[in-house]
Amino acid sequence: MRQFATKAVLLVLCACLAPPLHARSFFKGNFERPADIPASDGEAARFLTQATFGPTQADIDKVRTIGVSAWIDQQMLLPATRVLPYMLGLENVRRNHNRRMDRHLHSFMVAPDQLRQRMAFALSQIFVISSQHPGLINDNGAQQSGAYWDMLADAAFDSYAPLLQNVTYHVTMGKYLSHFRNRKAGPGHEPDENYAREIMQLFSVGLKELNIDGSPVLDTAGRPIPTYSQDAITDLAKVFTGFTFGNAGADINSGSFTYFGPMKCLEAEHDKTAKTVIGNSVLPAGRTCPEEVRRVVNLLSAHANTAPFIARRLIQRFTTSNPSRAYVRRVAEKFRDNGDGEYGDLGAVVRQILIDPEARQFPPPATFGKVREPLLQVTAILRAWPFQVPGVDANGSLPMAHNSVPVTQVPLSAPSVFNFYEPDHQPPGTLQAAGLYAPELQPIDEATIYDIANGMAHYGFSNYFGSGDTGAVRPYIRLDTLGALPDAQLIEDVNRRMLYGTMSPGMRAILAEMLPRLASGRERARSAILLTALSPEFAVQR
Amino acid sequence: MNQNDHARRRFLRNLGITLGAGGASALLPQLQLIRAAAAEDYAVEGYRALVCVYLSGGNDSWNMLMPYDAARHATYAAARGGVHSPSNSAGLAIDRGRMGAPVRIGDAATGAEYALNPGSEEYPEGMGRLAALYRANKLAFVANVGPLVRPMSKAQFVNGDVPKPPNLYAHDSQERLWHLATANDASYGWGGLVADRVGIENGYAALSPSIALDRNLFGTGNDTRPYGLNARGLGALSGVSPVASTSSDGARARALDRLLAEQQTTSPLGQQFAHTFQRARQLYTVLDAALASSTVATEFPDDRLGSKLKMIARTIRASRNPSGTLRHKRQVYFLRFGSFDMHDGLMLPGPDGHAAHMHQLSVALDAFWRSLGEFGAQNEVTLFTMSEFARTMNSNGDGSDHAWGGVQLVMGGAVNGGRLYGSFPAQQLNGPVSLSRGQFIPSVSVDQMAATLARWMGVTSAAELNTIFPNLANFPTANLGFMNA
Repeated sequence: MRQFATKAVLLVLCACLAPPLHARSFFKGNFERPADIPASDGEAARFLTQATFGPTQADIDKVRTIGVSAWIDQQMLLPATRVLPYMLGLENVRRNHNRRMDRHLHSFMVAPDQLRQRMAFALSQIFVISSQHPGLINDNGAQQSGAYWDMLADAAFDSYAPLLQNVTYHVTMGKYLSHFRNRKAGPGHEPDENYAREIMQLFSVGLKELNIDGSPVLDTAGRPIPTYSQDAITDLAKVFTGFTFGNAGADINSGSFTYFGPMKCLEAEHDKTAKTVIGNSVLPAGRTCPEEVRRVVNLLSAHANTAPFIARRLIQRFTTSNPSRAYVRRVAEKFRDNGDGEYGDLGAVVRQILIDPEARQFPPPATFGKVREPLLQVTAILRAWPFQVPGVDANGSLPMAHNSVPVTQVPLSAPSVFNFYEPDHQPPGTLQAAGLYAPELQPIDEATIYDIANGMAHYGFSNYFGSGDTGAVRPYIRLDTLGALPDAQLIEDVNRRMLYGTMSPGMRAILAEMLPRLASGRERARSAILLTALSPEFAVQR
Repeated sequence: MNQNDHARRRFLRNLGITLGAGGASALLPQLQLIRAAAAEDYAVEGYRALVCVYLSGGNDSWNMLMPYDAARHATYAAARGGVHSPSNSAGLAIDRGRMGAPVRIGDAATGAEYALNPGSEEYPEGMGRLAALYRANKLAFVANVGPLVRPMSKAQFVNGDVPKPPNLYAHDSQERLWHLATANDASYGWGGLVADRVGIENGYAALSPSIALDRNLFGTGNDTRPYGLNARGLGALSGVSPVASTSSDGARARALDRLLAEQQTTSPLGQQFAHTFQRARQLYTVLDAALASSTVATEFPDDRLGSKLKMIARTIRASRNPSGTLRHKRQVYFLRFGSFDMHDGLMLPGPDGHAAHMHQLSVALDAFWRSLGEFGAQNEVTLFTMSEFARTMNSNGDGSDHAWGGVQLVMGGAVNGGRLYGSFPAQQLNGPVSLSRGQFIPSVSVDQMAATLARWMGVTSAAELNTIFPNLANFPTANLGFMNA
């Protein structure tokens, strides 16, 4: 403890000498301590579980020095750790989705821009593209997917409407939802309706009209009101015609996948007729493709549903599966006005999600929290413990995941545009009876739970420093410091690093009973980590 | 059936799970007697299983089953933008000249000629194997089936006199309606509701009568929760043995099982997670052993669909073995195949095109059929497809978009095969039962198709069928006739 206190003082001094980037929160009230410093390491670690890929002691110290708001401020200024430049540095044949996963996992483990990457992960689960699509599965698709990720990371704290526009123009989205080379109507064919449907159903407004708190608007008979009709989809499909590679010529079938800029829209292939889209808004005949796309993006962005729709989805990715109406409302209000009169500020939205009283209440009510996503379980282990981080290998790869990726959730590889799980999933039985949602439980069954457990065991149990082959081909956990501790302290250290001090007395007793049955220090250490990783208490981020 | 009966069954089922999980085999004979008394409402003699192959993303079934006679083929081809060719890349129709004898079939009900997908240059066999099964009367099609609230004419669709299913053409909503077989807002799938009733005499009750190779709502009932089974079989947990012992793995196993059983977490989400993990642990040993001694010799295609169907065949073999540990009498299986959401590339000749998917389906289903023959279960297993919707007849330039009614297949020794059920529609755009892009108003409802299968599984009383399928009474018949009694 004394060592920790000294470190904290040094950090405070450093922060004072540094340029006052965060003067507003840090120096508020004449050098008073910021009001939002978590009261304990545990509370700081809980915040970091919500905001990063897992708490580290360094981040805990920092949050306890500068406070939550200033930490968010600093994070938002950090540039994105990019995927595409890394992939372009590899030989052509290695620019595939496995190597993309290496890069993601490495970034999530060590990159400083944790909140930005976490927001990119959240956005990637709203604006879904997937490497499982035939058009994206190849190596060019992997590079383009890396570029898509970087676009999300760059835009993580920017404005919603430009992001929706960039998503629309991105070639991976064009391929995935097939507005790429979508042509205006001709003899025997009509425009492809795919993107028109999903940009409304999944990326902006959803199926039912919503109040600002996310509850459905009901008609006089108590029924939900559809947001748009099939006719509105058919007409909107005409807007998304004419798109092709950014380096294409006049022929829509020309161009190539090696170009990393946005798609271009060929006016000759673009439907120029008048269109009646969502909310009976009329797009007059004769407008250009970019004019129409901008108009539609602005219509969708400004729709009354978009703020609560996006707010609830982002809350579910960061803090809880079951936000109260009031929590959704507060976040949605930030979407509509960031405090400076600006609309759609995603940075203000994520800040509100994290600093909201409902997110910061400690201890939280039993129903608060979310099942940890499989990827976040793995990254929490990678960040909780010392690892031998692999350097780049002879081929320039970062061998984090290797070829048989032992992680059951790879970014940008959901089974469908409906993501890895759906926001309204309610497991039948107790949870449904209680009206609780649990998106992350949707893919969890008796089979996948073993896969998820074995993914965690790969990093936190099987591959440890001293286990034999410790060449730099994967991350190796270092167990010796933990393994040298007596039982009670070992359990306390696992509790502090993985459960931010919330381990129940019953769970401590179970681990205490297990440890004396195990031989060596490392065996005790890796067993305690594995059992904690498999525990129902770790399964849920509270 | 009254409320008391319902409560009694649930009690018995829960008792069965408790005893089965606890391995209280000494009590099982008595339990079997009690169960037999409770199950008298249902016909549960012998073994029967339903296998749902879900064609994910919306199968373009108008290119799975095509009219072959010249006049109707011409209508089909016109609606699909003409025959697909290098000079007509937007056309989605398959050339009549490519529909050779191996894929041609006749409808015993009407005498009309049809063809199944003939494949592509890369898959020249097409759906030949399923055509052969059809000609052997082991396979039937249900034509123009889809979600409906009640029968609906084109005029009623246009003037809004009859309620439409909610959110037509949206993947998730329409898939949900297929799983529920009702347009009402409900939480339970029809496969699970059937299993609730007819699974009651299953021997090893800790194993759910509903077995899921992929997650689904279809197999979730009031009391039934799908058991998730990996196509690769039951893999072990790293570092944790199946049961507690004196080894290091055993010490970890004891700790894990205590963590799962003693419910230290106050979070309801964590408790749910623990229940699933605990069930996986409890079933592992019994199921792993049962599957290890239950193999099939039939060669399945080495792909995900083939692996899943092979695992189902092995599980069926283990489950119906009268001297085995499982001794199940009724089961429902679910697996997912595809991405059929072919807004583009529908006519590609290679592995991503529709022809390849149809060929893959044909080969895998045929292998499944033959594997059942190894152990005499062909008459006891009925496989059928579901898919959220068929697709627009007309082209979007390179593929087809979301539509409504389509064609599904039913395969098995108990199927009255060799004919079509429902009504194959006139295929013009904006025709008597179609909308402007060739979206078809279904001729029969999902409820009717599902109820026909539920009856075969042993839910024979009209009252019970109407409980499972609340809209069934809106339709002229609850039995489409494609199953032998």
